[in-house]
Amino acid sequence: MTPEMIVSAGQASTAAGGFGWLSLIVLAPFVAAVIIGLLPERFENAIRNVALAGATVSFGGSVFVALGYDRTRGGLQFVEDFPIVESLGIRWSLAADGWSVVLLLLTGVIIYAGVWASWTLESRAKEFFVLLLVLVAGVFGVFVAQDLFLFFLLYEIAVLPMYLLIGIWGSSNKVAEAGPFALVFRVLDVGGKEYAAMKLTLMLLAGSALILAAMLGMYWEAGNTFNLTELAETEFSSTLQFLAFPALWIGFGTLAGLFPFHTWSPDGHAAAPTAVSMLHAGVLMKLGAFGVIRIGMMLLPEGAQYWAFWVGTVAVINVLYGALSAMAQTDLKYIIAYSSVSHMGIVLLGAATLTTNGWNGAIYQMVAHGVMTGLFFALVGLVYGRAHSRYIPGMGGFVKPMPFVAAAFTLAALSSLGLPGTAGFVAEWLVFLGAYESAHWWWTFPALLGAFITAVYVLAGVRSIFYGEGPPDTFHDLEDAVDSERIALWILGACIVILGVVPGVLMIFIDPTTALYLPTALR
Amino acid sequence: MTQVVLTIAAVLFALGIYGVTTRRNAIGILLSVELMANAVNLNLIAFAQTLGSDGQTFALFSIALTVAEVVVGLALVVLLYRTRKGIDIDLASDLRS
Amino acid sequence: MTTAATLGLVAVLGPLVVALLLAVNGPVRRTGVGAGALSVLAAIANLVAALMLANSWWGEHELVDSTEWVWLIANGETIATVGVTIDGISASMLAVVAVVALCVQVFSWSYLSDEPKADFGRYYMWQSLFLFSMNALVLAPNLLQLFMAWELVGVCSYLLIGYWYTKPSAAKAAVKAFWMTKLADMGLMIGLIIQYRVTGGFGFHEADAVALGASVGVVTFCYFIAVMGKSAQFPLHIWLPDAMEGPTPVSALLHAATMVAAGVYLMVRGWPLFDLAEDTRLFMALIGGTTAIFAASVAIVQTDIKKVLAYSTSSQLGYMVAALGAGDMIAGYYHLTTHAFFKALLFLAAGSVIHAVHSNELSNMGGLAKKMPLTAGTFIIGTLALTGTPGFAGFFSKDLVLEALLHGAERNPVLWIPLACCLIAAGLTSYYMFKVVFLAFFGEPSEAAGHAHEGGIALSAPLVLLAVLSIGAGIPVMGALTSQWGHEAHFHVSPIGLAGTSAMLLGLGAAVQLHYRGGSLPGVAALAPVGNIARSEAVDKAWRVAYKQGLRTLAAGVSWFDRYVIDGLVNLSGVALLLGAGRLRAVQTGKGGDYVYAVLLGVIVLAAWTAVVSA
Repeated sequence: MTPEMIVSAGQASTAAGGFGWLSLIVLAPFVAAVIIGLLPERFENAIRNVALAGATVSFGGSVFVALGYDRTRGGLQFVEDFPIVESLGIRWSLAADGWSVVLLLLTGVIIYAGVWASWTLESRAKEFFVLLLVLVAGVFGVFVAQDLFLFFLLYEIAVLPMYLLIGIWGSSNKVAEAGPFALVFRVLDVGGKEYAAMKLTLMLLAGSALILAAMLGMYWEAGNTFNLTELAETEFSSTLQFLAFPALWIGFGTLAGLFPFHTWSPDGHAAAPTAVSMLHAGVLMKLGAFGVIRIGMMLLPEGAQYWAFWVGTVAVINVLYGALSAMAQTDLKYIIAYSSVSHMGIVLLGAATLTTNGWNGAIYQMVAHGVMTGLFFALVGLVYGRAHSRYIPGMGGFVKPMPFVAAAFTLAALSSLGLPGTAGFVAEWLVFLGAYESAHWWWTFPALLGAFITAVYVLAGVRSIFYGEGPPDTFHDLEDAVDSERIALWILGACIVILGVVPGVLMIFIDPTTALYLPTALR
Repeated sequence: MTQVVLTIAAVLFALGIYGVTTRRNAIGILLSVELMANAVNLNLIAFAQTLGSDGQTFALFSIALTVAEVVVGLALVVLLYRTRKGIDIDLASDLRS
Repeated sequence: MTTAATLGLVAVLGPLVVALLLAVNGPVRRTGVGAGALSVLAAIANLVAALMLANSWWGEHELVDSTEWVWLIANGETIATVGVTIDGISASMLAVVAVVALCVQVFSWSYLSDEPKADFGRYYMWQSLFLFSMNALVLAPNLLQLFMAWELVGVCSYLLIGYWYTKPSAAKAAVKAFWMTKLADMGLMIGLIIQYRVTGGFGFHEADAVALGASVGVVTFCYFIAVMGKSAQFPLHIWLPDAMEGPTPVSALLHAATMVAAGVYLMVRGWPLFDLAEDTRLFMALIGGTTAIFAASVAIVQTDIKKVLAYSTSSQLGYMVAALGAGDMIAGYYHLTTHAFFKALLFLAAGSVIHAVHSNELSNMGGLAKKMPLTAGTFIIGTLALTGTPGFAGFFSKDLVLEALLHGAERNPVLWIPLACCLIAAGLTSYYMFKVVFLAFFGEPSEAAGHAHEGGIALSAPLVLLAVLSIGAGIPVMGALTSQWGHEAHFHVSPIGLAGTSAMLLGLGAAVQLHYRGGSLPGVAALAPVGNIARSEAVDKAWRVAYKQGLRTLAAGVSWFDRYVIDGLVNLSGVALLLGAGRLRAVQTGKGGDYVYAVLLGVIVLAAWTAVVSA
């Protein structure tokens, strides 16, 4: 297929009746989940292969959409629009813009790598893959939904399977009883996997309730439409903007790890199994940030401008606070989980700057952090699976038995601290530039300091896990990554380097869309 | 005509409520629930005569649903009988812990 | 694309291709020798390209050949480019880096020949990555690319210091080096951000300096903070002595000749900016002078040959910074190039010694001149160059530095301070370097030194080449500076040159008296407290306290607050709900009838409410 043909396919599908590439991407994992559901449990290989096939179709579809997206024209393409509930104005309305394209690619890469990373899962593989695929179908959908109701529906589909995924396949952790609220530890099993799953779900649902309220407010004021383009053209009243924006910010922000509503994240990510942490930190947290920008800032510009100071300031707190908290952790998963809180702060900071560089950087950071944290959690899962421990001070010298893991971990660490040549640098750099250009230039400095503290804690972690004499005698079955796991690590590692060296591959999609959308938020 | 139908439906509904509140036998309660459901169906059909055919569609839909409901309900009764050795619904009061 | 740009790309991309190949192709890397061969080949290609460029630019230093590609965009406009820029400065620096890098890679072949094959391959992979990063830094068309390469050489330094990863001290030193430089690099980032905000770009030309206007002081000050980290200036120098945990050839290349000089190179590159920033330059001169004298005093009390050289590097970088601070770019840059040769020579010769006696401690050496005449000879040549003995490269460059400070002091009397520091440091340098020469190569051999012997051709060839350059980079280059750059070079005997030489001779005399003759000097005992301060590592300790008691404690506090206060509130709300729900649960009687009555009640209430509303 020549590039021209692909491009023309993209244009053809914008007209009604074209082939529904986006529906294919969204529904493929869902169909795979249904097929797996019908397969008997003992067909383990078939189950994995169907899961891989579903992920591959979506990933391939995302690549196709990226190739077919006509960048010279920009805007929404691959449009699909069918009514679902006509009387309420709810439609199956999908379309891709430049942002969606890169986020689809990210989701495709992560789920593809995630399936490989859980290839060796043994207990209840069938149910695991069903839930994983349903979740990812929701994620794909949110990034291309052009109907607010559909957006919300798919958002919930993406969020809810997490409860079961953590509650069933998760791992528990003990938290010492202390502090001013020590008594609650008697009632709650703090750190346990059921606790983590419950906390995550409840906090995210509380956020969803806020989103729903804001959404209905907009729906009624705009005259019963859920269409995002129409909503973006509506001039909402100041009262609504003033009230609905913080609801959306906190509602979506909870999923993005917004301080002080982030505490589900460390416990949830620490308890979740490998592929789930990969998807959750890698992609799901981006849904939150995407929602803040795409729904909050673009539909409610006046509210966004009013609240921008607070959005940015809290984001800066996120960056510093997450980094400092990560520094004090001794549990491998908690470090990475807190680092996600810190890095998502960069995304929200970029959004709050309301500048081209800041928004470009925010979207780029979503991808960069998604790939980087996906790699991190894959590696953490690997180390945990072999060491049967996540307690870092007890480790040491792991580079000898697992050199490949050590190399990949170092790469992820370097991207996380924003080393030039890795994806993390491009994103952070753009956000810093944007922050300094914004109305509140001082945001730059705490954010920079956060990046430095990241360097401190990730390299300290790398040192205590991999360097030094060892490994201690207590570890018996340390071995390097096996082939199926290496596939995941290679894919993610290559993405980190490529995105760091040639940011243009994504920027050609992101930048025109930012140029198109930013004026909407600056009205 | 509509009035007659509505009256019958109201009577049926009242009978249903009476049954549900007084009966302890699970099958009896299920029957009473069916009475109430059918009273509603009658209402739908009655209003359909004046308000357009949506009501009839809805009634058909409701009948189909009722069938499914009976299946589930009877299955529950069978389970109740198996686990509690009887079909008195007061045997199943686990909600009060 | 021009020929020059092609050559520049060969220099940059050749090592990168090798590094990537070795990174993705495990089998080739694990052959060890194969990996080394590839890496050395790239270094040779790099040297050829660099020499061709240097040849074309000899006498044409104002010619600029820049080829750039778009790297980042915003609103469809280019905001950053990457590429290669070749002018007089970058071409000459490229040649210096290429010579030293090739020497080091050849030297390493023999030095690390006992290493396991996989580690040998890994070493050369990183060497190639370093060469790529350094060349990208040197040829950077703007400060952003320079910064990116700057961070990459920092990572190479981190990886190479931690080459012996099983040694906990090496692992610690690697992390410390990265942290310290990263901390300082925040200055460079802030500077770049401000420069972008003001000028919309990251250029380092005169037009950019003019565009910066009043911000030039702030921006250059921020840049200088990063220079202090990278070029080991007081008080950010503490990582450099620890970095000696890496293999000695690494110390020669990264931590003496090229990477640490990147800081000075940044200022040379951005000279149009620094030239306009009077206040920043004053600060630079003071820091440079302080570092020169401070590091030299600490070098005196070191017993580890590599630590002596490390502190000496820090001190010499102080000279360069002071010269730039005094406003003489050529003096600083010239000292950079000559220092690259003789300090690399000293490190490699020290490596040859360490290879022979398997120890870094001076007490394990002694009398090596007889056993290893070539090493001893080249080390002494390096020492003579470093101490500024007339006729050697170091003499000319150090003389220029002192001249520059003197000229500066005539305009601004504050500069007498760094000038005095540098003069005293010259004497100290001479003392500690000759002390090393006498302790290592003369006197009674220690037990370990008894079995020492000269290494093979791979060890000695680089030494000879660098020794030639340590002498040859003197008069001819000086001549070129005079004729080509139009710099006023002084071949006449100046008072300041005499002062410098006298300081050198005093130091030499002290070293002869104390360490060759084994005699004593009046007043040495009185200096004991100074020695104790120098040994106390007070700066190091202060940083450790800031890290452990400051940052770590803060982090522990924040983490506790998060776990027990923020999350405690979340848990509290959960528990409150649970307890409240426990009360409400009494409503659930479990009796079927009760539920139906509740439903009925609900219907009645609703009906009543509807009636009220409609009425």
